[in-house]
Amino acid sequence: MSESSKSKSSLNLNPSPTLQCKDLHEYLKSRTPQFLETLYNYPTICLAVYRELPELARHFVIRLLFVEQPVPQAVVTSWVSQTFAKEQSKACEALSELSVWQEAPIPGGMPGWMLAQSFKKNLKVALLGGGRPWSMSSSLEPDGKARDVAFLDSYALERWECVLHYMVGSAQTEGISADAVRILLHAGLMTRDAEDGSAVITRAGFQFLLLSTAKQVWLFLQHYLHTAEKRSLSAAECLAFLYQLSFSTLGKDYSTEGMSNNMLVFLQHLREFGLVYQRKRKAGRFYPTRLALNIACAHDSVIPAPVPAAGQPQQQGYIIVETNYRVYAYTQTNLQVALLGLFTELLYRFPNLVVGVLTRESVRQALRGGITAQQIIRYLEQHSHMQMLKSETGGIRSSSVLPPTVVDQIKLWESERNRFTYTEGVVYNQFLSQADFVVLRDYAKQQGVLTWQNERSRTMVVTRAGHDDVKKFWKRYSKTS
Amino acid sequence: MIVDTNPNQRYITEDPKVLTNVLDAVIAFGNSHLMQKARNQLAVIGCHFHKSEYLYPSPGKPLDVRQIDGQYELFTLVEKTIKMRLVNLVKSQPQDEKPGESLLAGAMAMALCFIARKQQVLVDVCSVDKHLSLLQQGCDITGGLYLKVPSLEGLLQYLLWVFLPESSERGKLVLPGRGRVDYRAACFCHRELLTIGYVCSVCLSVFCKFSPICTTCHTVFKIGGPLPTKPKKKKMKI
Repeated sequence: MSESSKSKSSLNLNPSPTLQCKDLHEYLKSRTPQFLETLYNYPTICLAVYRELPELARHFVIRLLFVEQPVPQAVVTSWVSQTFAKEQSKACEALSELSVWQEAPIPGGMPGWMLAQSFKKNLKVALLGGGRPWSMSSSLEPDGKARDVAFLDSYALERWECVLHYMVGSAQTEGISADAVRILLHAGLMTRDAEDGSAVITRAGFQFLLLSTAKQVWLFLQHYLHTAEKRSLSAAECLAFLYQLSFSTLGKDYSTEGMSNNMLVFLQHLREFGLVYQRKRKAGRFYPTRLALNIACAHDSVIPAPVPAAGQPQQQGYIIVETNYRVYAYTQTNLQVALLGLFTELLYRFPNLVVGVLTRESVRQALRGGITAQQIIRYLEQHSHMQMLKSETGGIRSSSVLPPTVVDQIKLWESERNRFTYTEGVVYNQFLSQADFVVLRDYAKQQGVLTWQNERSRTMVVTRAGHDDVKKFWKRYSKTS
Repeated sequence: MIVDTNPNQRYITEDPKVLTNVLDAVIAFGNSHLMQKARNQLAVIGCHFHKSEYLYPSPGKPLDVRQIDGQYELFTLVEKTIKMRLVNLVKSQPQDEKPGESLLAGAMAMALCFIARKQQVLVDVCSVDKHLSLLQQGCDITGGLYLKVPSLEGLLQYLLWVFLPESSERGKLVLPGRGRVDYRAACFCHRELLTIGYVCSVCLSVFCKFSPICTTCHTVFKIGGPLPTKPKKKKMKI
């Protein structure tokens, strides 16, 4: 018998790369432990990391926070009832991955857990006080030209839309710096045109446009941090400052006093993207906007609208979807038309209205581009016209404001593309006797690791996870017989 | 969160400094709750013998707080507000009056538990001093937890352990058991627990002794003669 570790999956597992949007947890996991160690010197980061942990993990941390010695692992296990052992191990894993706690031996030889010193210290500082104040909190005289929340909201939106408009190649290219363009290029959201070297949007870029604003900002900043080191900015310092912003109060001014030069540069960049408002470059004070505040809760799926509609009358929905798959969009901006064009077939264009139709072909083209059905539906829902919210769904109660037929059909069009499921596996073939084959096959079946088998050709495929076990069994078996 | 700040309680009269420790623990607990999630909110009510008041959030404009140390701004605001408003509350108490029972006691607690049950809100009670039978009943019917803290030194740790997890998480954790809940009612006249008592037919107040006029709603019971003695006989038999 020979086994060939040829995996059944081809290299091109996912022909259309879907845009990766990591959350803070995943982002930090991909960093080195040294980087994490530096990060945990900032109370803000500790606070943010704590909030992102699974519920059980948070419980562990808070109970260990005031314990100064290692706690036996068995004790930690006993805090959770047996039936939820799986979740417990998941929580423990998350804590280890982020080096929030480390293994520490206890006198007597038992393995124990101990919170990382810097994390523990700084979380306590954030919770109970002590330590040095955050860099931006020096006191200020009241601002003569204080800005209110509504102003900040519209400012932030205008700045951010500027970036998005640039991406779809609208005429207005002013107000976007070379730095921002570099980040877009680095992130693969845009690419240099082969002919004239101008930046053009990529498929990933279109997917980016369909994300919610909070997610867009977070993804953008992630790439900013990647490129930060090249510009002699410390990624840790930037991240800490970002989270500092996200824990600030909307509509309140903060001082730039005592901030390092690097951070002042970073602040100017944030100002460009609309995360902070500054009247003048040298104003000495700044206001964080809602974009900055939402970084911390961008992944909190429970908050449906990161930007509440109340503060933003100008960002009303403009799309009407009918049960006959027609889409009417009351819009004049090229950005929105371009976005709609991604997954609809545009029929007519009027000064203030665009009419399109969702067809199998148009949706499939979007799916081929890596856009998911969920993204399309989310986008249509998010930008539904006021009239859609009022209309009745013909007696059918559905959670979505869109016609249920359209939602279902888009999902069906997606699932008809997913006819293959890929599983990695190992092929066993060239058995010398039928008996050998049957024994091994039955064993694999019993273990629940058999993917496929054929008696006539004496070939079987075992999952990657079960390969070691089956191999061991085969060695034992062939020795005895 | 409702904090009973009545200076009449035993643990405070014994050692007034304990109150500061307890208050610090309560504030830290409140902040830990805010730390769990960005959406979590906090309200603290101080319950004194002459009135009850919101300690946090303060009515009107919030304090203008700047960071003084590494503490998260919001947490500093919570701490400052609670301490300031508690001082005001204690100062405003009438000097000549002797501290009586806390306003929280009795009917208000019952009403609170009733509303909580209807709204499916958990009521948790942490007692630092004596056993609170009525509130324990409230915890039981709303599915909350009741804990009598064995020692005041570990108060914060108890709070964080037992009361911080959300209700959905509690099923997964090993928490102290409910124990047996005493469901007996307390009489309105002496606040003693009764198995059998007299109930006003109009307002349903409970009394341990028969009185011809209900002290709660002032209804006059006209029945004289054999009736009042009859339940007594019954009681004797049991």
